[in-house]
Amino acid sequence: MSVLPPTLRENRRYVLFRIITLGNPTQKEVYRSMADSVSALFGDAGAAEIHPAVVWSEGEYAIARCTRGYEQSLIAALAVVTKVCGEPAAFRSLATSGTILSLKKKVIPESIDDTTYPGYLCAGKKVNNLSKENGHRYLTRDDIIKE
Amino acid sequence: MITDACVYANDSSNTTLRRFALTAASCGFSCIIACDSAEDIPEYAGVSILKGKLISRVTGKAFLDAVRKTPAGTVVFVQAGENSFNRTVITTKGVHLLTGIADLPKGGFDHITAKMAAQQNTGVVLDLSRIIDPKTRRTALSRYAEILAFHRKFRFPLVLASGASDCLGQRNITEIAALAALFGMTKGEADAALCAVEGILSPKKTVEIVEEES
Repeated sequence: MSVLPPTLRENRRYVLFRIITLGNPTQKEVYRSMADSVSALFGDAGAAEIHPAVVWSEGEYAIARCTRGYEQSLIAALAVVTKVCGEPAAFRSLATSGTILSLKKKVIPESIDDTTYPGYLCAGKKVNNLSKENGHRYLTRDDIIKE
Repeated sequence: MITDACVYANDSSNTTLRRFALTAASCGFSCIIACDSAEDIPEYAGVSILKGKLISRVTGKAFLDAVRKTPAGTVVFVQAGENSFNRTVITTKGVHLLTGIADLPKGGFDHITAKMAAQQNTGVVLDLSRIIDPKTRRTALSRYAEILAFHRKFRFPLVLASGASDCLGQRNITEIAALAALFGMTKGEADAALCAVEGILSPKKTVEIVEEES
């Protein structure tokens, strides 16, 4: 494969998104979900033009890459993802930029606490009940106090 | 007021109404309409919560009774049906929004219905959960493109809604604009559609008293 000189290479844009799921998917699994939805929405020809890839992933944040001018298409493709590894999930786009570094600065690490309310997973005001018997439940701290 | 026109926070949902509001706030919304919600919370996390009632496809008399029985201050949604039913719905006083457009048969919403919707200021809901679901995506995209063409000609209110039944189904404003672009909606049109509920619930009057002399 020939290597294009820098001036002939395509320009790229990066999209920071948040992975909202109860599992802990790897970068490859995130890429597979994204690539499937890009192909489903735009077809193989569209996917080749968008050129999607996941370049960075840490915790619940990930950065996807695409060709410049196709950011909207990539965001739409991320928005139609509903499952990762069989678990219900959502990819929430947060920001678009020309560099990975500027996007990494926008990552706000959220400390997850599971000691305040036993059986619940808290992050800020959000509370998730992960018990498999009653099914997953999404609440807030105020709901817990009310219960 | 940026509004997510329809979330289903009913008893079968695994997400509480407060969590819907919290997620909506993080998605950039200032208002949500909770359809068939058991809880009555006016505001949470800076997001005002309006109550909504969804009236399914019913016969003429049952439909009118359902509209009459709806308490004041509730946003009334009606599930679209065949063309004659849709025309009745649009001209009925008290109906705010027509929903379920993606399920309509071809010709279920024609240019006359569109013109009536514009005259009566009745909104048409474009439910984005139909685009997210791969089974209904193709039909939804083609129907929404038709509705958009009618909207551009007749200028009836168009409303975008996530149609989420849990917090994972909610989408932020950027994502909604990107999804709306799939059927040809521009960014400006998407922004207007997100703010259209306010205009439907409190339409501008021909003459308005700005200041009253004492």
